[in-house]
Amino acid sequence: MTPSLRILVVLPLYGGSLPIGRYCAKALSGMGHAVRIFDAPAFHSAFTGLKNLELPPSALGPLENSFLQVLNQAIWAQVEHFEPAFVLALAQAPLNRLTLQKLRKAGVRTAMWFVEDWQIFDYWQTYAPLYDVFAVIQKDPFQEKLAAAGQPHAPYLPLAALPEFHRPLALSAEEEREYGADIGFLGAGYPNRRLAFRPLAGRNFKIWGSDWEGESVLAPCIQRQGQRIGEEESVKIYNASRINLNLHSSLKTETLVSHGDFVNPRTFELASMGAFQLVDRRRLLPELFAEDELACFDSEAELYEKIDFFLSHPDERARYCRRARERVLAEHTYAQRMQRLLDYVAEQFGPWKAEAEQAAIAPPLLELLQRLELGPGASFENVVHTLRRQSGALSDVETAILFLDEWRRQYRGA
Amino acid sequence: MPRFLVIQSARLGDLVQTRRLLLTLAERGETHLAVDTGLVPLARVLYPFARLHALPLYTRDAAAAARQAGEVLHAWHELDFTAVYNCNFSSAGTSLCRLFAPELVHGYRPGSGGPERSPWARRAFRMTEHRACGSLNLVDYWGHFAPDPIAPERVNPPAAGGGAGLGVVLAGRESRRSLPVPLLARIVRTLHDLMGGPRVRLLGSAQERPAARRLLRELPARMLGNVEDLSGKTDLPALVEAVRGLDRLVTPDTGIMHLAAALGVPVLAFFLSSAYAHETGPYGVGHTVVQADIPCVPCLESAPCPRGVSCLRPFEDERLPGALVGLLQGRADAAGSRLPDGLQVWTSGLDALGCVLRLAAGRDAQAGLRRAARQELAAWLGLTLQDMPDGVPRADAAAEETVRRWLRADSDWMLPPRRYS
Repeated sequence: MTPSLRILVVLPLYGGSLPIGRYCAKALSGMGHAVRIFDAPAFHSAFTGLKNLELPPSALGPLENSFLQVLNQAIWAQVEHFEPAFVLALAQAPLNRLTLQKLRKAGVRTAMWFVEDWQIFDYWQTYAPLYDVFAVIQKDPFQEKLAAAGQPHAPYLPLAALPEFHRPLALSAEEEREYGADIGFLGAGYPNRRLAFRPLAGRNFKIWGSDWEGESVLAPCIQRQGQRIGEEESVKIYNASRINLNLHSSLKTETLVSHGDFVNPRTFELASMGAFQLVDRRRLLPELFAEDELACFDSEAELYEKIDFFLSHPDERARYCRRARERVLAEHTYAQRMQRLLDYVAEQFGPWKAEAEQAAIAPPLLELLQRLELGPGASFENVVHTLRRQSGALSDVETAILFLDEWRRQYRGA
Repeated sequence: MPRFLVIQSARLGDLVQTRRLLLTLAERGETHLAVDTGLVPLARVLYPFARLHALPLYTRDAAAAARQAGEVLHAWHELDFTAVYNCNFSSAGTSLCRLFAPELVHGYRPGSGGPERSPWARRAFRMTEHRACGSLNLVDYWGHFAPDPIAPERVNPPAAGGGAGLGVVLAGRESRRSLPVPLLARIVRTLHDLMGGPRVRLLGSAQERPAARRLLRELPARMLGNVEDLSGKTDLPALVEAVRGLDRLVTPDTGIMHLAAALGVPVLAFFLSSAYAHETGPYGVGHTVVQADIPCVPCLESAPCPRGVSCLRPFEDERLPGALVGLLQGRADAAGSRLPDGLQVWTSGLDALGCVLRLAAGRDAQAGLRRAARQELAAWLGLTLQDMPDGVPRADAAAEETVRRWLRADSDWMLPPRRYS
């Protein structure tokens, strides 16, 4: 049983791992932990401001480095203020070497959930050993390579869904009109997808998402000129599509179905929504879903064939949807993944300590610190500062602390 | 059929060093090459498969430049290029790329603050801050602008003498990077004797005629009947013929050196000052480079030397000709024992990344970092380097970590991509 912990989730500035970080934070909160997020995307406009200075790379590069240093100072300030027991970083989180070293020195446990393909991003070679745990969505040879690089704590942690968010929706007639289609795809226009989807042009097929520039054959299918789609709206789109295509991305075009190893988040999210999907077969898929839970294809020909079959067999679609959703709810939620991660950290580095065990603090004060989301080592000044920002009437303990602060000032000044 | 455009806006040597990229593209589609007008005759000889576009890069006639650029751009506008490879950090060349959609341009593309490097160029270019530990030939830097370029073995033929004697290049564009005439004469005399008295061709532009005359005065009378002074007497196609078939070319870092390597002529090159053999050494198997190795090498070409070109001193050591004899006779031990301090001898070979130099004599204090840098760049390209046969099987972990810090910026990973590309 994991005690309630203070956990800081460090989000990346951008990218596919950003919503996953938010889902992790929600799941951890739902599990009873005190969770703060380092909201890196809030700083994205500052980054954009730098970019808009229209400087050459020689001038912009140092500014970007300084910008990243400021982010790290901000993360460290948040760590000092919040005193987390655990820092969870998502792939591409702006945690630099120095901050990770300081966290280790301070005894704060750290984990990176590397929800990326190790063969495309080589960042892990440099940074993996700096985290206590480096959770991955691929198995060997990646895990072997991580061990060779000095990171033996690399548990396999496949992606998941957040059932309270990725859920079946009853759409309005207007939403059905807007989002509904026989065939739907939401995602970026990678080369393999462009080629695989072209034979579907002319059908009732809607493509949502970005990076479809220059695609002429599928242009009539592309919705909103390829604008990015937010997470809330994506749930409506998936719910409204009779068949959701789920073809894992690949930069290669010789083989459009890449038969790669990891399973993307869309697979779990669609299943959790009870939305029907046709997904390309992945090497790690069989241990996550059974044959009768997900309808898979091995080739473009099989994809086209199954589209026709399932469009004319709505009952079959419904059966797959029901079974896939049951499996996700039973085994593939972010709450389960986070629990697995916390258990793994405890197995490798010793049990998590409840806050009461960490410091002998009188119960009223401990409750106050917890309510203020401050750690047991919070300074008196920090408590006072946080109390001053509270609105409404304070409790007797809180008021007493503010009084003591004023009293102290009076005598210090005397 | 795919159609490619390569813009090479630099000089003769750079045109030759674009060979791997051009040969790669020629196998994949219709290849166009844009170079300065003056280099078009050479480009025609070197790359007969390419459709050439003459650029007015080094003319002072503004009206003519405007007219010529207009014609070229009009022609390009009519062509539907699959990809454009702009090879130089040159505002002039890069400005021409504004004609194309940004995603079509590789290498250096127009950006709001000047030319911007694509990801490979950006990463490889970071080694310029650690040049003394570098190990990436410019031919391969450009070659890898295209994915999966042709194998390095297919770029230049292995070095092999052709029976046409000894070639001597009199000076490079930068005099600081060349050996003084008396020293060159001593080396030429030694080689001439070693090779059994072959014919000797002096090569260079009209600017090198005075140097040629001085060299002739320095050579013994018995040699003069064998020496043919071609300085200033060859246009570029004729220069190709003058180099072709030589048994050996003695040269500083010059365009003619690259031409010789492209023709399979064995090169004996002398690199000092800003010239660094690991960057712009002769490409292919079987060439030899004597490299100055003192702490300030390689320096910046654009900055004046505050040390009186002290990297030249080791070349003036009387033991050098003896070391060269040992080297060219294949007696590495003899070469090593006579090699003056402050010099290294490298021989060229190939690996998965491209052309790599292997130490034949002297010491390489940067061997570990150099190896790690090469591994790192190769790994970024998805290539695996085999263990080297020179007793340095792998860089150690500390060197690998240092190089990673040099070449992998946090910003690559933590900030949005395509900031420069």
